[in-house]
Amino acid sequence: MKIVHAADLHIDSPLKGLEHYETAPVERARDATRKAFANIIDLCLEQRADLLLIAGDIFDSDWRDYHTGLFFVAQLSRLMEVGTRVFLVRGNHDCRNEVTRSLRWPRHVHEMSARAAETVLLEDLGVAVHGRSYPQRSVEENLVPDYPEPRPGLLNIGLLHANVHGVPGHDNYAPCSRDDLVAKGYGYWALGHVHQHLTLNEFPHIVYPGCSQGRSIREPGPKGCVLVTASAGEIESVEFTECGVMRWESVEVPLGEEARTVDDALDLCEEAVRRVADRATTPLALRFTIAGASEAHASLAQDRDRVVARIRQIPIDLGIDAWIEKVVVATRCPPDLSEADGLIARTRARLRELAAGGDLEPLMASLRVLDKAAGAELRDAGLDLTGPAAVRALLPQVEGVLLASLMGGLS
Amino acid sequence: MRIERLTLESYGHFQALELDFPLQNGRDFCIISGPNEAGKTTLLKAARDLLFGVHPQTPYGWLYGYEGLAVRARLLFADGACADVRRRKGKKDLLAGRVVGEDTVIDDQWLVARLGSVSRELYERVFGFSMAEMEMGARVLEQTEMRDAIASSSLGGGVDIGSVLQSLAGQAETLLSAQGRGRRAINVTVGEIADLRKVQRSAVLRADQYGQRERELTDAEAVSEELAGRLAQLREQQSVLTRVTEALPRRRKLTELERRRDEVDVPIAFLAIEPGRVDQALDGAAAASRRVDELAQQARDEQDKMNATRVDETILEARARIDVLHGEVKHFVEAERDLPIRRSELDRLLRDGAAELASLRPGWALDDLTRRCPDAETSECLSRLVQEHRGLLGRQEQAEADVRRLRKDVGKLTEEIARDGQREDVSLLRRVVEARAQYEHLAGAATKREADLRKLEAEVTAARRRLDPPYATDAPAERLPVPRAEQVREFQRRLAELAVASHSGSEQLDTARAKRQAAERELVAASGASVPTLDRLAELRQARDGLWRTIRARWTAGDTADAPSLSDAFESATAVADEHADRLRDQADAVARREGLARECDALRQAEDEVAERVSGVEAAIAQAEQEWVGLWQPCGFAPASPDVMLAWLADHEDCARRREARDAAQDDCEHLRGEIASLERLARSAFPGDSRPVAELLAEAGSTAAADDKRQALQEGRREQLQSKERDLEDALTVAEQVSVARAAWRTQWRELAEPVGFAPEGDIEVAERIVTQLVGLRGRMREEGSLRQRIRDMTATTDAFRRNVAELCAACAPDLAEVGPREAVETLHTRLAEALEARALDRALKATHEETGRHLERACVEQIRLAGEVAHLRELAIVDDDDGLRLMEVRAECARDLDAEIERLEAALGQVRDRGATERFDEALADALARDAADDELEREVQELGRDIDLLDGELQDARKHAWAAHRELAEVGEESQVARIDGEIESARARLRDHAERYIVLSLARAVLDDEVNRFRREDQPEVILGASRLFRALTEGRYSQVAPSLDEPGAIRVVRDGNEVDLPALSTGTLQQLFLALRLAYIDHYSKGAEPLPVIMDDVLVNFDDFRAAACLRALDEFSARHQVLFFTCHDHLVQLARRELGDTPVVTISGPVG
Repeated sequence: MKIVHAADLHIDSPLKGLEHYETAPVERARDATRKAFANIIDLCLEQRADLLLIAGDIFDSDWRDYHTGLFFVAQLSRLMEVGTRVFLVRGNHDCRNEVTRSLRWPRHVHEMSARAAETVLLEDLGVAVHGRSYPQRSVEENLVPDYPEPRPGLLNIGLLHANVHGVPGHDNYAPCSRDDLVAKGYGYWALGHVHQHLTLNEFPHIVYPGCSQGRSIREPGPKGCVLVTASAGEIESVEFTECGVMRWESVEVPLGEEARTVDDALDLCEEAVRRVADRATTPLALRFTIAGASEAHASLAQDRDRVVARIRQIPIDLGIDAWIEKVVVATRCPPDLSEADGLIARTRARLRELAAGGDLEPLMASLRVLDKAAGAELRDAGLDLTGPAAVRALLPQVEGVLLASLMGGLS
Repeated sequence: MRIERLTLESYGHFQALELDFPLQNGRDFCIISGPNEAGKTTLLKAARDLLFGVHPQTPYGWLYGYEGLAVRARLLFADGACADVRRRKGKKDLLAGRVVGEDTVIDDQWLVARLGSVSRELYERVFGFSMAEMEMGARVLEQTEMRDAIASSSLGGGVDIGSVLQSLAGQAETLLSAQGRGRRAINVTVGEIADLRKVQRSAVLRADQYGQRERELTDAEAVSEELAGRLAQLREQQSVLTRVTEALPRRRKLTELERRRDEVDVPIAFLAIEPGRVDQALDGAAAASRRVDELAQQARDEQDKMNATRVDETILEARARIDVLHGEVKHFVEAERDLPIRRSELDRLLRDGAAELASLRPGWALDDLTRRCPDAETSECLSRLVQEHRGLLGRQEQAEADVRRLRKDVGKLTEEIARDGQREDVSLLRRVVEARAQYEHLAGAATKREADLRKLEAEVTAARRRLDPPYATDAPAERLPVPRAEQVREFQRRLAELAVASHSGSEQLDTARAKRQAAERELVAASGASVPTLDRLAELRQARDGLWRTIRARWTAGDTADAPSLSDAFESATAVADEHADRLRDQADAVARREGLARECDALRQAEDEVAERVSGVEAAIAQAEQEWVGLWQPCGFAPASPDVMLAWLADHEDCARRREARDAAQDDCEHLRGEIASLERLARSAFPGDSRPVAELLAEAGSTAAADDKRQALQEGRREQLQSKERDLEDALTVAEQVSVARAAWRTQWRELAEPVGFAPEGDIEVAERIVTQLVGLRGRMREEGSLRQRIRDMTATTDAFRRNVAELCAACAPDLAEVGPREAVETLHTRLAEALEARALDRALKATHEETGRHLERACVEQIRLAGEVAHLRELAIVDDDDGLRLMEVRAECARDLDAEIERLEAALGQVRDRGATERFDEALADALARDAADDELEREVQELGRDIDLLDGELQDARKHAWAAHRELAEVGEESQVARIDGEIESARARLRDHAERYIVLSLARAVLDDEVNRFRREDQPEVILGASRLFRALTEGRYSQVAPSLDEPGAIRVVRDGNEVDLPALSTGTLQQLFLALRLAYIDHYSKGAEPLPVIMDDVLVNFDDFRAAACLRALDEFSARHQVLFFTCHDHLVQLARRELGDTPVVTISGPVG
């Protein structure tokens, strides 16, 4: 018996942070979450899967476009060809979604109840599927105790959207522990909510498949679903399969003494891209962070636009399908730069004081115009000007620009 | 810190170059002179590399390699510490050294801390001067009119801070406009996002909208179906009528044909036969008769040809043998041609072989060559023995020569060793020698330190003189409990502010007073006697009212005395008051003006009082501050001058204290060094008791004695080692000679075993034997060809003989006429005859086959002729006629009947097709109806056209309904294919990413500008006054007093101005040389300022005076000389005239001359 377990599809949710530029592989990234889900359906067809389990967060909560729901139903309808039955629960993101509430599921699709945990028996497969949808967005209580007792002689599968052990970076909804799940006596827990693929336990298996497609640099690495093989009521294997159409990766480029010029730094960047591309099987979305103390610092700060353009050229030169999401230049002056008296030393000391928690408020006044013009949009883009944290994070770049200017750069 | 000595161990093209930079009369000014390419820049780089490290990719290892690249120096610090350091190129432990007189080990960290963490960049920018920097600094000063020049000087003066601030602001402004104008990147992107949102809102498809679309589709499909039903009915009706219109003329024609058919009479049996069969039978019978005649004639012609053909069977029987012989003709001809050649070759081989053998081994026949010649293995063995023989001979000669030479060497060395005597005890001398280097080092250090001490004494004295009157006290000036410079600066600032406030207050008071007096004068002028006043009116009315109260009181009391006069008086008072009131009304403007002036005078008086009070407050504060100022200096025992003067005095005082500390340290060092020197002198004299020569001579003699002893000892040791080595070599040589002798004996045994079987004498020349054997082996190889040659001759003879015999036998059997012809020609003739016989036989066989075929055709033609005659007879019977003509006539009649039947059948089929094209019952009814009423064709057509028009109208309606339904269907089908909303969402996210990028850049630029602005302002507040003071003094000295002052601008913060002859001068009006002097003054002043809080560092100048005339250069040299009292100045130049000028102006200034690469 083949089971495909997926979760956190977030269909039609956009990829965040990808700035369009001339050579960016725009078409590859378009409809990425749709393509990823279509790949999951392809996997079901190819494996002639018996079950497809979707553990919540199919859509985003504020998504109102019916196109998305119909696309989802159309994809599920393809599974009728091989007789795959589909079970799904709603998670915190789609529990109140207008689209899901008005969709008419095909006959082979079953949405688990939100009122109480329910059980569906599949006698022909020897499987009992237990699950419960979220009745509202915020579910603070542990749902596991209310799940039905396991049915003897069958492979019991629990379909649950929850945060087990409070995985950081995710809301602590339906909190429970691994021991709670193990004690329930099910053979397989098909979890959703955490966007990273995790196997919390084996025998019984407690598995997060992760999201189907990374949507920002905060969701790096391969994304997809898991293919479960079972026989005679026992799990035989659990195998992760990458379905995402674009993989996010961070590329750290540490500069040292050897990097004296922009060209040296770019050579290191190229080497880093090669390393990342060797590991990847899908197109990439790359964030470059160039850091470290280097003689190339002033040139990098001064020619930032040119450096970004040349880094964007690297994948093209190497024949690699990659989108350069962002280039963060966080280099420093070489360690022997002036610590003595003088304007440079004073400026650096002031910036160090600010970085260490000094009062930024007087300087924030110069940013009021920006906040007024674009504050709301910037907050949506993750840059909050109402507090000092975002500005403080940019102080290394401030230092870079200042030193480049004072050492004879911008002027 | 100053560099006392710099040693380039290996750097650039220098090796072991040592340079001293001595103090001269308290001045630390040294000129390093040399022509171009002498290596001044290399020295300069070496000094910097020493302090701050050698760059990993330094080019200065090109000559002596990078491994040994190293620079050494002795450094003297401001606190008196002296350090010997050595810097090399490498990855770690690059700097090593020791503090003289201490156990402190020096490393990079120590030096960095001592230098005040100054970086190479800062050092090069602030402490390094070159002509290019001077020119750039002058340019910056000229272009920016000295705005922020002081702050800029802390960066080396090459950066225009105003431009930097402007550039940062300009870049930020390209990203964002507060007013949203000018298509700035951030404004544009925010606008793009808003536009995208609008489009997205309109593209969202909600669930209820989708349901509405589904309902619309259902309705549209229902309308389409209803219209389609009605259209189908009309179309069926039209179809029936159309078919009837089409069928009616055919039906009428069919009736006419059936009548004509009934009139044609033909026997039914004859009618059943196929059309054309009669003609076919009659024509076929005639043709069969003609065919029979033709075939009979052909058979006769073929029989005649067969009788004429002949075949030679004899030669055909011998066909196989002829073919074989014909194939062998070529081999026969070749054998006949080659036989004589091969025989000649054999004869020549035998003759040459016998001759060569006779020359090599007389008496041997060719048979002996096969039987007795050594084989190849023996020959090879012989060659190896020859090689070994040659090698052994060489080794034996070499071994004998070695033994002779080594015996001679051993004897000679033994004699020399015997001549060497016993050693003397020189241990004490060695201790003295070991102490010699330390003694010299200490002596040198002591001399230098004493010189330092003298210099410092002089400096302290000079510094004390600078602190003398009017502030002299009994206590040493530098020990006075002086206040801190910060306190003095605070007073300076405070008093300056108070002075400004006092001045400003006085001016304000004068102004207020003048205004008040003017207002009062105006008030007096406006208060003429003719102008009524309100006060006067009040007085008049008060008098009137008083009279009235008196009249009323008297009237109430019944007192009527004086009533008339009182009444008159009251009326008079009332009239006067009314008149005054009238005047007030008449002169209202003048009254109002006077009242306004009066109020203004009051206000001005009040303001004057306030200003006066403030001025007195300021004066009190000044008195208080001056009292505190004097109190501040009370512990020193003298009254201070102004803070400006006292600040300069404090600087001198601090300088004096520092010099005194340095002098004390130097004194301690000198005493310590003297003690150590005395200890070493005692040691030296103990080694030469009674010798009264100077210690230096004793040390030199101890050194030479110890060196001679070392040399002698080394010589003897060398001889002993040589002897042992030679003896070992001799033993080795004897062993080799013995090994060679044994090897030769073994070789002779092998040679004997090989030579005897072959017939050579064992004592014969082995090399001759080896050459003969080699030739014999070669000859035997060549003679092996004889056998194969003989066999080939035999084979060729046998081939020709067999060919001739076979040809003769064949000719006897089948061609006796060829018996006399040669074998080759006979075979060729026979082959030709065989070909002819084969051709004749093939022709005969072909004629026979054709004749048989012709016979069979003739037989079949006769049978056909009979069959056709029978068929003609049968047809006559069916047609009931007696001859062929009657038969042909009946055939014509039958054809007519068949045509009519076919036409009738076709019409019936066409009518059936028309009928079957639609509903048959309705068609039959309609057709019957049309026939019954005998309807005309055009009438039916009109009915059809009317129906067509109805159908077109309905069809249009149906198409519209279907389009509507299809559009709804397509719209629904496209739902889910692609979400425009999601795509726009992606575009919004992309725009946000771009916006964030722009915003971050904007934030970085804005913050950079704000931070830099703050720091520049702080620099102006805290450092600028002192630097300006110093720069002013230096600029005055550099310009020989032509420019008296550098001062802060009163109009523009951060800017400064210069004063010449009491007048401010515009900077662009200054010459380039003056601007360079100003730049120099600013930099040197900043160095002074910097060095007050950190270790002073050497100032390095690289030919900075080349653009100055002698007068200006001399002034600069004097200023630099003065500056060198506080800082070490290393002045590099390649111009002799500058060196001469320095000697003339400064006296005995040290000059280090570099003539070029050393070593």
